[in-house]
Amino acid sequence: MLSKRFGASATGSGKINIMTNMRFRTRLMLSFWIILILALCLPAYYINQTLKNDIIREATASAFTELNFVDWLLEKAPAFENNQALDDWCKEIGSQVKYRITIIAAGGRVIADSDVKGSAITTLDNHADREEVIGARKSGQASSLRYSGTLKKNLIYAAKNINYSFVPSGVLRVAVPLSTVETRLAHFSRQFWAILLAIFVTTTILSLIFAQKLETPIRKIILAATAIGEGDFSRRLDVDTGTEFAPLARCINDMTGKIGQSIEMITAQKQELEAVLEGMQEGVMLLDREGKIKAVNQALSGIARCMPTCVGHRPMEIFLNAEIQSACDEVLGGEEHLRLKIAMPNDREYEVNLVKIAEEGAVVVFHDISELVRLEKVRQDFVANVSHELRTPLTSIKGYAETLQDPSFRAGDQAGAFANIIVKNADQMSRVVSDLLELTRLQQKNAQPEMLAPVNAAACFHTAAETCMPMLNEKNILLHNLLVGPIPVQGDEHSIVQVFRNLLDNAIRHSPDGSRITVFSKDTNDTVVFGVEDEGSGIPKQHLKRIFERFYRVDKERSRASGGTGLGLAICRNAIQKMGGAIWAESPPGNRTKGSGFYFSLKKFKDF
Amino acid sequence: MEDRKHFVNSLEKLKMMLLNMATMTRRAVENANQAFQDRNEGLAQAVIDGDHAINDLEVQIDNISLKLLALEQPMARDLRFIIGAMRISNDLERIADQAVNVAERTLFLCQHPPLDPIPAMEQLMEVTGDMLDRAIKSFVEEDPKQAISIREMDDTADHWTMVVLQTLIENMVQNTPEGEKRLVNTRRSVQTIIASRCLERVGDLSTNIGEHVAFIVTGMNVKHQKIAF
Repeated sequence: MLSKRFGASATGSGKINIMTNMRFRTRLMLSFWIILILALCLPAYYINQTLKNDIIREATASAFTELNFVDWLLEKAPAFENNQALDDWCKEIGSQVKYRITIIAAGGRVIADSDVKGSAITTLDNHADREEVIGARKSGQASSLRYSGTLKKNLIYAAKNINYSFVPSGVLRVAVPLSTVETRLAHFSRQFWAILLAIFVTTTILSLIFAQKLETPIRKIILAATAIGEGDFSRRLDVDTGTEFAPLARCINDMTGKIGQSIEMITAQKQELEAVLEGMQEGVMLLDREGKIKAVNQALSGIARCMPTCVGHRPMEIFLNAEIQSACDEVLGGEEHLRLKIAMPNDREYEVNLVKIAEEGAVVVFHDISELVRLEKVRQDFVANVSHELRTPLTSIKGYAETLQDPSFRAGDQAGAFANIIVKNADQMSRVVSDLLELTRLQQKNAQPEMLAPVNAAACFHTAAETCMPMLNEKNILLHNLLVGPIPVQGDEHSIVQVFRNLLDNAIRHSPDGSRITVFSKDTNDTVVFGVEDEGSGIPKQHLKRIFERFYRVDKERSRASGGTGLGLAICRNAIQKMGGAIWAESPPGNRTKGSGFYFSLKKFKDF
Repeated sequence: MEDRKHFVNSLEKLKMMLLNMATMTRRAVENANQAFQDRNEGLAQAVIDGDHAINDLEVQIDNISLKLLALEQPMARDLRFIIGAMRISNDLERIADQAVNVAERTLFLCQHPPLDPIPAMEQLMEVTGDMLDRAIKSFVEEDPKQAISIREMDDTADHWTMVVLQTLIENMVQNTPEGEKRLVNTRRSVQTIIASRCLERVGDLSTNIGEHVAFIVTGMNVKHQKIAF
């Protein structure tokens, strides 16, 4: 594995080199071996050759010495009668000196030979063509190294001319076996191979040890680098990994430290960014190039019901809104920046900003403006309504006053009626103005909160009901009072009476003749809920939320005709809120099919 | 591979078109309801005028679906999706037609004095709107459980339709003044009853869409049978 990595880095993408594919230790070993072979074998071969030549030369010299010695013996010997005697002599000498002695006649015929049996001598080849014989004839004496077919071994032949009476111009030859030479040479090469083997073994072991010494730090570095690559930036290399690798280790350590710091910084930045995104009130959505959602923040998950996850879907699937989808398509299609207002379910309105990120997609930001829109509408309605409420009576006051002023108007019974109308309208105006003042007083934040005192709510209701009696009788409405005994609550008596009066007033005005109004209370843990239910035409659902606004009218024409300033419920709400309670309306109430019910809760007073 | 990618893109395009149609239909129903409640003639007219866009989308979805069926020879879920898309677009178109119908009743009713508010009508609008919402959501979320649950709401829708009918019959019988006014009262009551019938149909068609969604996701035909997931 190690060498493969090295190999890969050494050859790059080029052709595969055998050397680079081998393990480091193998390469080290091979290098050792090649150097050794070059350093040992060449001299060894040279020495071997020299030695061989020396030995042969020495052997040849000794062969000549032997030859001269035999020649000297032959010279001293008595003359031989015939060839048989010569042959016998040869055999006798040969048995003493242990080498072959041959005497060749002038024609090349062997006439005596120490190693050939008597009768066989005649069957020997003619020796005239032997190298040493030819050499001896030419220059007196000669030698040759040859394999003898007769004796089946390497021999050094030494020959010289002789000229005796019994051997006229013959050749004397001795053959010394070379076996001693070969033995010595074989011994030498055995030693040489043994040394070579020992050296090979030693170098192998040495190269293994060296390689091991190199590989251990490298492997350490690799392990550390791998761990760092996998994110363990606290990992440090032991610098003491050998002199060569210490700078590398230090370098890696420095690098790791720097990378670790950078990553830490980036992570911290990312976390900050995420925290900002998650903490934002605005919903943020990131689109990829293909128009699919890449990421969303927490707020957006609240705006759109993300199934298991928004990621990977198109905006259309999440918002079910074609406007958002087409805006996203436009921005991804090249538009730099888009802003649009969209309405979502549950009466929410959003201002959506879409910004293109260069070639990467788009960011979509949802800003919830429902509250702003609602307040704006309330404000517009208030201005329109307050002027309308004041202008209507003012118009008739002005009209009748002008009529009275007219010189052509003759005073009579009508004048009184006109004056009455003027007074009635002025009363209405003053009611509106005083209600407005009352409301402003209630809404003033810095106004001293009413001292919350124990109040009997049942008594408050009776006070309110008494003021409403004339209206009840007029419309023949039955007031069904289910409040039992004293009901102690925390509040301000004046405010509670006012709330009851306004609710009753409302109920009476919206009830048909001869119907019934029910008033009841219900105990919960620490609050009491009061209800005023009528059997009137009821309130359409879409108005229920807004009827507590100033001058808000469900049906503009009808409710003004029935009197009232349009501020009653707004005053009720403010008064109740000031006392720490809640007020709401239902239509139709509970399980009934008709009419409407108004409810408010007040804190119970326990030690009454 | 390239073919498959192209096919997947086409399917996604089909889904987007269907969702677009669904939101437009939902908007049409919402606006029709709003117009009915607020006696808003302009909004009612807008619903009527907007219907042709929904009709066009249905035709487009049909064309794309047919093309995909003919050229790609889809199998299994892809096949069911395309067939389901055709059926859903058909039902959406009919829902939009019901919205137009409600808008037309609204235009008529605006010419006459208003009836007393009928709470059951509001309830009916709410429940049928919820049914349509749930149908669309089950399609987006590919949730057969939710798709099948729409059926349970159908009984509520039927109930409120009946209540509207009873209320208005009572109104026609008991509260009708003499002469000219009687005719007007009968007319506006009948028109309101028709509107309530339209809303009830919206609920029925939403139930159908739910069944198509269940078919696309599970491959089972759940029409006219009780299957629980």
